[in-house]
Amino acid sequence: MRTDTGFLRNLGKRRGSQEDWRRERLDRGLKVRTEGLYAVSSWREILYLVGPRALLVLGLLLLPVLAPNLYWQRVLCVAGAYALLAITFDFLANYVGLVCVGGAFMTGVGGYVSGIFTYYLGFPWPVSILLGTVLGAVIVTLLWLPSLPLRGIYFAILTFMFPFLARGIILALDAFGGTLGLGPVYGADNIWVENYLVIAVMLVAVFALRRLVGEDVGILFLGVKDNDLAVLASGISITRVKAKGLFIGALGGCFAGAYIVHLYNFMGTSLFATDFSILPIAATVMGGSGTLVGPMLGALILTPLSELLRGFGQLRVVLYALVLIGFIMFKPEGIVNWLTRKYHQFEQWKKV
Amino acid sequence: MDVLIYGLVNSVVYMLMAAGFTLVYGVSRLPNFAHGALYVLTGFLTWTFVNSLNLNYFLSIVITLVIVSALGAGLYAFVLKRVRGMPVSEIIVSFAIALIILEGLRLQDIGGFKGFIGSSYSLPAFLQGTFSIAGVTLDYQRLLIIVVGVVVVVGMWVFTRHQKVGLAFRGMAQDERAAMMLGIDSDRMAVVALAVGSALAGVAAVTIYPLGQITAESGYHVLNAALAVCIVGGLGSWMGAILASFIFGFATTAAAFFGAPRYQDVILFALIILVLIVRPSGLFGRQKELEERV
Amino acid sequence: MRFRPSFDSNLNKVILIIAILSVAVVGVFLSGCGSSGGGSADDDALVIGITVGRASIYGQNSEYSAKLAADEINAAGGVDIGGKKVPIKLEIVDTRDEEPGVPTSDVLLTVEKLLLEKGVDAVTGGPSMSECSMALLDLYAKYKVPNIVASGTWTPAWNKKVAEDPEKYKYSFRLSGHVAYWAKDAAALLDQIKEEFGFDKLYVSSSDAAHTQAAAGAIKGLAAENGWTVVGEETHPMGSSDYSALMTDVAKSGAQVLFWWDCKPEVAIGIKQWYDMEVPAMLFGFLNPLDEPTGWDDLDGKVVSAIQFNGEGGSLPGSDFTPLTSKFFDGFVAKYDTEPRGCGNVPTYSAVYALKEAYEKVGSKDKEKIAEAIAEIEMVTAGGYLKFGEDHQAVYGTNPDETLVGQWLQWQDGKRVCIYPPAAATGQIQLPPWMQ
Repeated sequence: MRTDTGFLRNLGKRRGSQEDWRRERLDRGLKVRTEGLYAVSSWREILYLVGPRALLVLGLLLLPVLAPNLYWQRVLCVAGAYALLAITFDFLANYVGLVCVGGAFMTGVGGYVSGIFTYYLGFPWPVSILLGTVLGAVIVTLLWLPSLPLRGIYFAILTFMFPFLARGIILALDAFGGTLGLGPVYGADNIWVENYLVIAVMLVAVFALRRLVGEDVGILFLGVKDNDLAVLASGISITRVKAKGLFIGALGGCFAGAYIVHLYNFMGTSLFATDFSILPIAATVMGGSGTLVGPMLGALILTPLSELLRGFGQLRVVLYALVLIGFIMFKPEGIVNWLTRKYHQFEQWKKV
Repeated sequence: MDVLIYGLVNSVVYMLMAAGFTLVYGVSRLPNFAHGALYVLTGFLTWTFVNSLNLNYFLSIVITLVIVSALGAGLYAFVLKRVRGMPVSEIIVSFAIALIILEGLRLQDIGGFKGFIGSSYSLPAFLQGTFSIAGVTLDYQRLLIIVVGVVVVVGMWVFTRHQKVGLAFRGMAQDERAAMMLGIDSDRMAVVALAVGSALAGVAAVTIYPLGQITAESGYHVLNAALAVCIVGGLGSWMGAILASFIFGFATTAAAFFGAPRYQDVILFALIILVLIVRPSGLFGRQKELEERV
Repeated sequence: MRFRPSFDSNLNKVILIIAILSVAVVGVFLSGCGSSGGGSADDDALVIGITVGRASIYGQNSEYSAKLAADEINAAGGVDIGGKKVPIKLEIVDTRDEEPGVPTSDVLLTVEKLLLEKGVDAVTGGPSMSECSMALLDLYAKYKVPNIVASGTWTPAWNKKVAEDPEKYKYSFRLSGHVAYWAKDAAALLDQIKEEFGFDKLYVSSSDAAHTQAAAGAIKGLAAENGWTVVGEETHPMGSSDYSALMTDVAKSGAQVLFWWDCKPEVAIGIKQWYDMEVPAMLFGFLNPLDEPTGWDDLDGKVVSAIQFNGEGGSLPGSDFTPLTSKFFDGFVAKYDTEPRGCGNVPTYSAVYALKEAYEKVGSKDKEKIAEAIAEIEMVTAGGYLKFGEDHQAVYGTNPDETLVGQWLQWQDGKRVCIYPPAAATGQIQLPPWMQ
């Protein structure tokens, strides 16, 4: 039973008047004029469309420069990795219909695979990261393949358990360094390279995924998410579609893992930590699910915030959880969705 | 013989841990991920009453159970009610509450609150001493666990068949719409279900904790156990939960006794994954095949 | 239908909001400035970073002892650096390293923040997770800050790694011990038991964590060499909640001593079962609940005669093997109103004093000279005689006049009694009540 608080809020008396008013939302004239060919009819329209995106890109590119010292640049690197995981979670949950609560498994697989290439085989780090991303995504997809037909929370619970299982196996077999992990895993030693690498990948991920969703493949994903039986009735194998979606999503997660391993020159079972599963979810809820930008911004806000609260010990987690609950209960649409709505539409009260 | 007896004890332990979770899910389709947190909270509250306030042990237990039930009911009324119907949000919100409770218990030096860290918190056993049965030594507390488990199952059975509220539970579990048509208030039932479920978690905690020690981390372990049992048995089904807890209990005990204790965890996960792949609705699950599998 | 589309002002409002948000994101980064620099009033203070997982017992132990040492030194005037007395200022950071959900990269980030923002002169304390300390070796080598690991990190791999490249890792030291030392101690203690009671059948159990298994493996080898028969062994998952299989197996195997090395508090269940089932074997090893000063009460006295490795020596009541030991113990009890636990307490306490010694000897804060000075330290500490080996590992042995010592305790009559090493022992080894 869902209580539609939005409906209730929009109904009622307005400022002491006796009549009933309701809130109405209309698209802005500017927005309507920017649809179709008219988007290029004047600078105003172009700026309206390009503005937010340009702001985003410029802002991200400027962040490493604006960071006050090396420590905060490092934080930016880590935040970027979390942002990728958040984008992955959002993509999988809202565009493919797979709620993956086990992002840590992707980090772990991507991290270990790429780490193996650098540590044991001595490959240069860009190659390792690339191989780790692609091969890692293949492994994750293959391992989760049997559970793709499952719906709803079953998939979520299964993915939640996988990181623990993987960690347990590595510890029990004492493989790849076991509890102690392996290092050093040589990466780029230049903080600027590390910063801009992750920012570049983030931007590529966001824009590319957005584009992807508009393509045929993307429409299939959305169709499967909304009504898989209908898609099945059209003779398309749903498992294959989901597998494709999972693979694309896993690329992001595995890259995050590979990146972290080479950032900290170390790989260990802590790559399967639940932090990697939970923070992306919090970031998505806060940032706005369904918009790939929202989770990214959410992660970029939450990670430094977490650093600032480090002095408070466990209070940090308590605050996380409170923020999460607050957003889900009172503003489930998230920040970016809210902003988008405000940007595209205006509201007014109309007499009933 | 050892395997049989200890297997039985472990099965009942699993069952007690899962009881509250199953009830809540069965009645109102709410995955209450705060289950483990309520379990741990009961332990620590009882400990505080007994040790810091020097209350009588049984009185402490009763008071704590009341508090925890109220907390569970409040959890629904103030929080879960608003996200009902959206399964992922329910999970996230209840898990967030679990985090608040579990991590909050470990806060250090915030406003003078000293968290519960370390191995020094435990509840005394109700009965001390051991006895021998069929050549196997068993302590009274474990026997008590079995007794409590039986009482809980029988109690729940009687409750849902002969008590008005219990019958309403069954109605809700079978068909929510029809139950609502008959005048059963879904929200109120959910509140009661959560209260009872939390109380069950508390009962499990007070019975099982005297075996060892209270730690905040056990909250996650209990949640995993409850999830495992409910998934394999079928979310929402009591028979399934009981059967599944016996399977887990005997499987892990047998593994431990027959020389492969390292693989206990692996067995657990393997079972879950197997069930999810072959028969996602669990052994006694009520959901139709088509609904959860494409 | 009446409406006024004042969308221009609304749009401007929205743009303003977007701008504010972007500034907020940037601001969150920039606010890092506030916590760095800051210009402390006592710029000459000796700033020592304490890296501990504050929610773990090893972290807590380390933090308390560090504060105790710093307070004592400051009360006596401070550290004399080049003729000027400066106070010690502790920068305690929470590395959260013992927590299940926290990745190593987090710990590394914390330490990096400490090094970059707080301008520390040296670091001691944890982390107690070996994985984190191993990863930190490279970090400290990069930033060239003297550091002494003094709580946990009991893996022999640490000093092996340092020995591989002593020039690179010259700033890193370890004052806590490692499992090879403890295994040697355990073997010697087993010998003592063999002589006193004539036992020779051993059962070895551990959890499936790599370090506990390594300890079990080491003990198996050493005991076999000394004439013990290993009549059974098993490994169980960490945090297992039922040990009936283990206890039954031990009882059946005819073992007289059960060696059990574990790392989780759930073992309390097993300890109670050991007592309830009156398993005819002495309990001997490393189990967290036995380490708590309140262990007797916590487990209803079911710990009687259990022998526990108490970590680096110096935290048992009545210990007197150096003049500084009881000073530490009494100081701790006076300050915190509770007896100290075992691991990480005394090493951190000694580490702070060792740093004081190094700074006073060198007379400046030059990091390279300090590192060299620490390597050459020889001093009496609360845990024994401190000196570092070539691999920057503090040397442990059985004679507190020559090395540091690890202590083993046995629970007798509600108290922790030291029974090993002989130079520090305050009591005799006793059998479990049902075996007497």
